[in-house]
Amino acid sequence: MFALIRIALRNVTRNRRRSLITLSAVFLALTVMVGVRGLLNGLQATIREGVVYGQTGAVQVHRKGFLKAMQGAPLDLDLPADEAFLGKIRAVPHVTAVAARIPFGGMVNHGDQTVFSLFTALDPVAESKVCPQRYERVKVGRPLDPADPTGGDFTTPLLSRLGVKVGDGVAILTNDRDGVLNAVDMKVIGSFPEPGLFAADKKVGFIPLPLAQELLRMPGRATEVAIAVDPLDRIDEVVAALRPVVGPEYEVSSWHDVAGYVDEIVKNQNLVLNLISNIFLFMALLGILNTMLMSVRERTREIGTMMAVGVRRRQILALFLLEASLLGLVGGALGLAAGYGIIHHYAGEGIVMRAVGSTTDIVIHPFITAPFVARTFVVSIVGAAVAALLPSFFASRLRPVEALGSVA
Amino acid sequence: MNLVELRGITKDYRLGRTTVTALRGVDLVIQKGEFTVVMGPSGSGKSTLLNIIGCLDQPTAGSYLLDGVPVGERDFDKLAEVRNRKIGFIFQLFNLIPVLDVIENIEFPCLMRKGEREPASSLRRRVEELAGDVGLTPFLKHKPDELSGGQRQRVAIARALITRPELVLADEPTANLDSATSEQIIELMLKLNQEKGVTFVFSTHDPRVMHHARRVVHIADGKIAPQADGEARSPGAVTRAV
Ligand SMILES: Nc1ncnc2c1ncn2[C@@H]1O[C@H](COP(=O)(O)OP(=O)(O)O)[C@@H](O)[C@H]1O
Ligand SMILES: [Mg+2]
Repeated sequence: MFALIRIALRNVTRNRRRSLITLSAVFLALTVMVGVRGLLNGLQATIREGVVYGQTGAVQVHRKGFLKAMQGAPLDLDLPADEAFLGKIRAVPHVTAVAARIPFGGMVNHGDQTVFSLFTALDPVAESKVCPQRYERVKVGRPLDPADPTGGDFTTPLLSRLGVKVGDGVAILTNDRDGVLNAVDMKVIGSFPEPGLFAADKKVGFIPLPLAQELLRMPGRATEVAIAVDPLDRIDEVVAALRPVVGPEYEVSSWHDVAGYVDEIVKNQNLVLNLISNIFLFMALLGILNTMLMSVRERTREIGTMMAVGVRRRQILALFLLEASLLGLVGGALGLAAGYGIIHHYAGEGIVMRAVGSTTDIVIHPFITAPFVARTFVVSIVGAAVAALLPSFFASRLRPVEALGSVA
Repeated sequence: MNLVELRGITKDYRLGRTTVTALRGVDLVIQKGEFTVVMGPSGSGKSTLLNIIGCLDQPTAGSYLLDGVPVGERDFDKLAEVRNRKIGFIFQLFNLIPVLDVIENIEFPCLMRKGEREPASSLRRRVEELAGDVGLTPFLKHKPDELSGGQRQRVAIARALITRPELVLADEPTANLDSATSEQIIELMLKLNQEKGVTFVFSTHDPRVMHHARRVVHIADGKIAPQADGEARSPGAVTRAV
């Protein structure tokens, strides 16, 4: 075996130009595979974090049926927003923060302008722990503040529609849970460009929970509990542990259920990535196939000689598979290193990107995982061997006399 | 003792509809220790004969006993083992492995052997000794493309002998060498035949080689000419067309 490895190694360096071309193909394929995977990993992490830490929280608790009726933001499917209820949730292992909310629809009025919009009533302190990114999005003014019980944050499109600046006063109008129209005066203390990633409605406001409870005539109540989980990969455990804690009238959902579109987006991105990766890999493996075919043809007499001195068929097969695997190994290792280098280069500072139609930048910190690197490396080596299977098999099935008679 | 015993060997090559008969009923016996020259013009069937003797090819009809054992319908790997253990090959085009140096080329057949192998140090010693016997000591680390034709053929001779074969087959080994080098290669093989008792079968179309031969088998048109065989140059060699 060692003798075969030695011969394989030298044969790979024998036709330098051809080996280099093949190696470049494998190298390029692996660089692209790793680079794009790393970029997508970063993008998907940003999306995931944007949703979990900026919109949904990791886990949510509602009254049964609330999520189905979500569009209507029903107020009658409510739950207690008191320490007795929230404290039970907070006591579950890996739960780090709990925030009560009320999403509801209504209008904002300023002067003779009135605009329909979506509101979320938030507990200013607890929310900053569950969804800190909400607060980071506030670019002008400041986020919700317990010291400012009538201060709210609104999106810039909503404010410009009303002709309102941070510091101005507005009135919020909505039906309470009994269908009675109520209103409350507020101050705009901050604005943010967008409510979050993938938000369909750009006219959104965040208002303090106590003020909303007053407006909606539901003191001490809320309709949603958002829960922070740390570490995030314990979500399933937390969901399972929460169910008996809150009881059967409530539904416990992970952010995957609440924002199912994120998983959908990730899945589609991965599909496209896999397609691209496979195309590049396929091209590289075609290169290996071609190289090995040429090699077998050029070395026919050499194969005959080996057979004459007693080399067995499977040794010939092994020799050519080894040569292909070496190309896969070297090209793969270099490609992985280059891909990793590129990712590493951008990992720290991150890549600033802006989604189509969005007004906010997102920062992507690309990364790859060790299992992915290991798997890709194995695919590169084994793939090369598989690509060389046919030519290697041809070589091993040559008839010695005919192979020896070859003049190539 | 009969090392090679061929009876009624014929070999047909099918080329589409036509059949080329390369050997038509060859009977040949080769004794251990003999140096046999197979002489015949190009296309007379020398290579075909040597390939069959060397278990590289199988006859269409006839029987072949190698060392008393029939070489029948054995599978590839079995024949490969026979070639590896019992037969050494020397080719017209030298057929060295270009990526291996002199030492590595010589030891190659032993490294490819199935089953237990000789310890590396003892193999290396034998390789170097053999390289000395064929006059290659200064070139041990040279690659084939750094050697002259004569030197390459010396490597091939050493490679053929490293497995201590019963039989060495040399198919026109001097056809690609100038006449002075040819003389040296033939002398070397004769010397190895005499000193080590290695059995050689040597094919050529060059009548000048006859000067060196103890036993000449003439082949023409796929048949061994009976009248020419038996003209032993030395009384020591028992030769007979059968
Ligand atoms: N693979 C083959 N296919 C068809 N015909 C062949 C093949 N090998 C040899 N022959 C024919 O068999 C005859 C003997 O060839 P060969 O044994 O090579 O002769 P020599 O070695 O004496 O030149 C020639 O007529 C040659 O054309
Ligand atoms: Mg010939």
